[in-house]
Amino acid sequence: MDGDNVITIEGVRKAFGGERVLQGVDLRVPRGRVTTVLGKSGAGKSVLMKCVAGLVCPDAGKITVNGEVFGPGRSRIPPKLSYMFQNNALLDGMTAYENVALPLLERTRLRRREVRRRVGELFARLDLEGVDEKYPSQLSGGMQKRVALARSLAMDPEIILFDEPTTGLDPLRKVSVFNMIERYQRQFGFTAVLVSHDLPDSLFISDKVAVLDGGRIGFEGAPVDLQAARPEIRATFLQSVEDLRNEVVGLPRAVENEVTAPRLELRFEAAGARRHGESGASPNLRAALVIRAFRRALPHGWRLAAAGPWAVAAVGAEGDEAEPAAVAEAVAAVCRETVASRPVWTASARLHANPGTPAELTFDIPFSEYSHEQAED
Amino acid sequence: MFLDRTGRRCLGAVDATGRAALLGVQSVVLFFVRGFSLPRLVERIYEIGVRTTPLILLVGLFTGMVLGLQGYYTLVRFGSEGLLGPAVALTLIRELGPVLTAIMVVGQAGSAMAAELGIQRNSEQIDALEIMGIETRAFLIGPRLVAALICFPILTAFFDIIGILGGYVTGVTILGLQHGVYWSNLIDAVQWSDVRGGFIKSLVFGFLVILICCFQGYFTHLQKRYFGARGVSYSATQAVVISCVVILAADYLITSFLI
Repeated sequence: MDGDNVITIEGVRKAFGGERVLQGVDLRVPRGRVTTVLGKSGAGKSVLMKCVAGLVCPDAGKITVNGEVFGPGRSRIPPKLSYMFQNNALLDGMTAYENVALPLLERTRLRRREVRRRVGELFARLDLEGVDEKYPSQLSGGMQKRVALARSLAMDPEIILFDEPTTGLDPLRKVSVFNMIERYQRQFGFTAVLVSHDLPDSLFISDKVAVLDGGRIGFEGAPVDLQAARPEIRATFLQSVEDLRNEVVGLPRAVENEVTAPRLELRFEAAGARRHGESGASPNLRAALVIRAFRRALPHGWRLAAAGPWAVAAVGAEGDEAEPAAVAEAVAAVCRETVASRPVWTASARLHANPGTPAELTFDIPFSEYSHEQAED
Repeated sequence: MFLDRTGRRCLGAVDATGRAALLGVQSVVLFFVRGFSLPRLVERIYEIGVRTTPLILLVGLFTGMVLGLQGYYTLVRFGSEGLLGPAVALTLIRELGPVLTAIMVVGQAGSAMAAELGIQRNSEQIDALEIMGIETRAFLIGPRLVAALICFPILTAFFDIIGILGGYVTGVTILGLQHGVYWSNLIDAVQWSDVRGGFIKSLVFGFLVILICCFQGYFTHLQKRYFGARGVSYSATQAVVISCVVILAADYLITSFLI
């Protein structure tokens, strides 16, 4: 195995007829993390995923999954790997229960009672109670996704490949699917590889990002480093996409997803920063990364809430015994690592702890400083 | 140009025949070796056998009645109406029973099979099964082929029996032929070799038509002319057309070997 990389892709090429889709892709996927492969439509993201899954046979190159090499020639499905298809690919003639139980019944020697127990457990963990006897066509898009995820998790895989999991979903459902992936990845501990062109939403949950451009990986690294990518990649994947879409589907949705009250100020402030000469600075992306760092640093039970134009709040659970000061320190440590390594991304914490109410920590995100310095540059 | 196109089509047909044969053998072997499931086999027997039975009985009855009618008026010209029973029975057992049964099953179950597999292929359900580590040939095609081998001889027997009864209704009940003449001549004329021939044909037709239908659906994605929903409908149509042609061609070949 290559370090702690669960998947290593080396020089993979694939052509269909005369069209060369993959032209020597190299990529490493760290174990137990979320890796997102970004790319424009038709860039070959799904083909790359299908090569890893063994559904498409590469013409050249080497794919190592869990230490086992899958080279060109006859394709083979790697063990302990699961794949969530773009359209879920649930067997439409079977109920939700039968879909999830199928791999257990076909691939293991478990008794039916044990299969029922395991599927019931999965359904409970994925909030799918009561849908056992429903057919996929009777379920909502979000539920279908969760049933597909339950089926993917049924065989306890180490790796799950998500092929454009948010395609065709409305903005609110998109956020809930990304949340679902992040939540269950943390809960179950699998390695997740996502294919997406949803920026900045996919960056919320990614530990690593790879940009597939022109049949090759044009950028590979942490999401915060995406702004240091080649100018053309930056322009394509940050500026243009954000300019088009962030006004509608950017940061506030992610925050709204955590709180009941809509907090639109951040979006307006971010847009305002852009209007003040910060055309390529991607304020929403930075905000997304900061928010993401906060969310991952928060202890179980704590949630994120919007707290003003330039601030987010971490709110403790009712009756939580976690010491707010310790939480603040833990969050600050992660934020220092993620955020403060860029001098302009500083965060400070204010603690509001009143007896009888959940503790609340407010973090300031001074985007304006960034904007100001950029303007001076 | 013409020769080039014809040659390419012939090569394509040979290639498809080879792939279909391989698919058929692998599916049956893998079903018994890696994926045998009695409930799945029973489900397919229900799909091919039970659901087709009413149609087979209906078509068999009217085929026998028409044979009785035509046969009676032809034989009566030669004063041989007493041979109506053997004429109806031998026509049904040797030829029409296996052929029409196979065609009916193609229309009732085969086209649906091709469409179902085609949709499963297009919607990546077959890929999903493969990702789960399920051997799709054993899971999807094997049980259908084995069910066809079980059901076709039985369905053909039903067709023959109801057809003979149809001939009886026309010849004896409607046209006044003697009951004893119809049955005694029939029993005397039908040999075990006739029944065996019909049985062999039904087995061969059953395997061939279900294989063709499964092949068309399973490999819908490899079609070069139509894609998506049109591809599935084209596969279903091709399954019916090719099956019918193959049934008649195979019928001629088997008959020439059996006679």
